[in-house]
Amino acid sequence: MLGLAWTIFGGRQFLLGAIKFFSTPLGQIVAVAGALVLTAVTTDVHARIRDRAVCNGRIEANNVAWQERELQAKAAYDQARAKRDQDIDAALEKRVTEKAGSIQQLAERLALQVKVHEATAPTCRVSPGLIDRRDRLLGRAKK
Amino acid sequence: MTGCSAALKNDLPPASTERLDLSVDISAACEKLDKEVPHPVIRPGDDSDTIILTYAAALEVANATIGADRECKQDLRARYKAAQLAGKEKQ
Repeated sequence: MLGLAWTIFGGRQFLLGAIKFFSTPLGQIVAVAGALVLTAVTTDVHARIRDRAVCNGRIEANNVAWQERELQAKAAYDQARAKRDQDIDAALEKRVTEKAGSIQQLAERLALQVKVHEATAPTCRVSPGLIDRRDRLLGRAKK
Repeated sequence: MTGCSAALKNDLPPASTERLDLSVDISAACEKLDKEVPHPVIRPGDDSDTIILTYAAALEVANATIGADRECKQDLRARYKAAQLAGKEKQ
């Protein structure tokens, strides 16, 4: 711009013209106004740069916080799942032990009752072929 | 800073898919009940009434085992259903 004005008006004439113009009241008003506009623009640009930096910092901090929360939540979730499995397993083990004991008692009691019956008068006898027939029925026939 | 608020929402990392693992490690405790009930031993010449009673007793034990296993699995299902994260107990 300056080079163009220098070429068009000639450097010396341009400088003299500028000095003359800025010496006038209007020129001084224009100079002050220009300085004010320049200051305002510069201040605004600086403020925008500062805001952008603050914003970037907030985004980064937000991401880090989010990732930390995610990790903490996952750890808590995994821990809760493991505890749940452990608690359920322990409760069921107790129940299973009790049930297995009562089934064992039932089997023993019935076996005893069968023995008591066995001691009374016998009826008919198992034929030799019955065992083979049972095995064939169950698909366990001997070769 | 208005644009920053929008960017804060958009710049969140993608949601983790690790938690979407569908596998569940179900307790195998109930399987300990599932013991096979063996066939009673029969020998030629045994009293047939006794054999029938022995089989009836074995059947009774087998049914008791099935019943106990069913109750155990119902209990297992109820416990998994009732399981809550700490601080999120049902009201």
